[in-house]
Amino acid sequence: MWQPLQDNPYLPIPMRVEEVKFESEDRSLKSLWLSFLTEGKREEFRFRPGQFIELSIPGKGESPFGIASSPEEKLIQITVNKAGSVTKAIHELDKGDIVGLRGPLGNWYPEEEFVGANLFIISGGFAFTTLASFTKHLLREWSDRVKNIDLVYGARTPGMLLYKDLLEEWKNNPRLNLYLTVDREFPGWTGLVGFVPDIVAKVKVDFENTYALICGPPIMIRLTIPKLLEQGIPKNKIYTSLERRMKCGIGKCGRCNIGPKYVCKDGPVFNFAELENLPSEY
Amino acid sequence: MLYLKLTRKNFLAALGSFSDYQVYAPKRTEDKVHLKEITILELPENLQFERCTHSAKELFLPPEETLFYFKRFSSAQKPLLDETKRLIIGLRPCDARALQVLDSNFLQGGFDDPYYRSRRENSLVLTIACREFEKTCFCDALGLGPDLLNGADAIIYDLGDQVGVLAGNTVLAQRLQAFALETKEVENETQVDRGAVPSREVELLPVKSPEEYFPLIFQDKLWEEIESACLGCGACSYLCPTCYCFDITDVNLGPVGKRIRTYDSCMFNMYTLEASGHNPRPTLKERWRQRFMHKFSYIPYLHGLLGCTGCGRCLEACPSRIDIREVVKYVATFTG
Repeated sequence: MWQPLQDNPYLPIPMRVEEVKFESEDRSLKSLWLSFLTEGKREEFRFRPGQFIELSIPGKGESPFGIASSPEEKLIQITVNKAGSVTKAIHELDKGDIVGLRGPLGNWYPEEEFVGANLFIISGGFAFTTLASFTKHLLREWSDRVKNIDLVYGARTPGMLLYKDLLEEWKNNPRLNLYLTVDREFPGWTGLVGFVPDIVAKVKVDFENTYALICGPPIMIRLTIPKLLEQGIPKNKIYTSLERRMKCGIGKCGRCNIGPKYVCKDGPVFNFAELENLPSEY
Repeated sequence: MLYLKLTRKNFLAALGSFSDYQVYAPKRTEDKVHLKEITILELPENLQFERCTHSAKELFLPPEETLFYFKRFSSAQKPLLDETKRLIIGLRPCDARALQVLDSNFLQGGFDDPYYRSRRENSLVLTIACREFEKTCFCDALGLGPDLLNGADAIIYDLGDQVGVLAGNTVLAQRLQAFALETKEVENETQVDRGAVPSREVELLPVKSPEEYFPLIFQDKLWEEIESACLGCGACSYLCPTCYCFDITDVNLGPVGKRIRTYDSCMFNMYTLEASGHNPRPTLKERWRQRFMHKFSYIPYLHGLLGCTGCGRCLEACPSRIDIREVVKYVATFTG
């Protein structure tokens, strides 16, 4: 079982905002890089890609965010979609501001299981955060333990793709086959054009002994799953990460359950064999 | 467990030795009975108490509690743990049963809730065995009973001039021992003199095993039938002794603020509504499935005990007169 860093799981750890950056052309997505105020805390904060944190601003409240940085990076990165009152306040943060963090919370992509297998990473829109963390970690630390790595990532427009510098770097990384796609043609766009599920069906991927990790809007997931099943990937080898309105993050407050599973505690990462036995409340 | 017999006078004298405790007991004001702080001297000599309108959860999980105050976040943030010593007397076995359900959520499952733990560990809970069934009581229909210790530290049985006390808590047992006429070590309630325990012919409710309920989560028609009567007011969950779901929010108080937690209810739209507008439980159909399954399937599946105590408060509170017993029966006969 994972444990959050603090003894009292409701107490936030103070963090300093070190850097902020808009990720998307419409300025709806913003990344924040955070450092621990207390020395030694970063070393104690051991997380694995797929886990999330609760970030809070005093007086505004708390919201859950997947960790976008990889465990090897010193700063903790999250990418925030401006949607509600807390995320609006987070967008107004600047370098030097103090925020609170609880975590790491939840489970992770089970990397031990992937040893010796092919990986097919599929993502769309701003749900790319924890899969970006996973991919960075994979390429840095243990790419020699898996076979082929294919990554399909799509967004509505080129300007809505997250982490553009990282994507540029990955284009030249021979260890990874990167397929970037946008919904329609754009001047200057040299990547693929089309929706993620269609690209998934088209790319030449070795589906033998393959794990698929998929995270994106519900509609993208719904349309992609059949394509993966058609290729013979079994349900228990297709992993996804769910998003819910999570509050406590430790399975106490009750709201994020799907059947007897708590997304915050038993998830957010589930495989489709697990999800099949639960009510479709996601 | 220790069973003790005491005269009423000596029992009250023994309680008097808990002078460092705040004493709480059910007290009637107009048409409601609430747990109120009293002095030992105010305890009724017959040790009879009315059943509380609200449940005992208020003393362990208050409707609103402050988790901590903040000016800005710092590493010196201190939690506000309630370490008040409380002696709570006059609750019912169903209230003590509910504490076991709350314990299973707040003290088990891999994580500890320090706020709940602090209140629970600093409280002594003395229940009284019920002398009669109220109109809406149905603990016996769930296989529970009006004379069980459940999650209490001790249960008091009315033996006329004397009281019988079955104590699970050794500290409490030791304190009472000095005042007792007789004591004996026992294993359960059936081995002791419980006085006049009410009993009646009752049909057990057809509660299934947790896993047997699982296929019903996909039967939309079942939940549509049930939701049609419900207004979604949430009165059931506020009065339910085992409903513990909560929200965490910030309150600004000028230059400082506080983070609080408050009751929430799975019957509300806002409970699961996400910032994107997506709601995984968008209608009362999904919310009823959640409330019913949480009590009768998920809690039993995860913690091995039923999430309903049969206290009957939801029957009294529901403006649509939805009877959870009827829902249990209906679900049991549902064939699609």
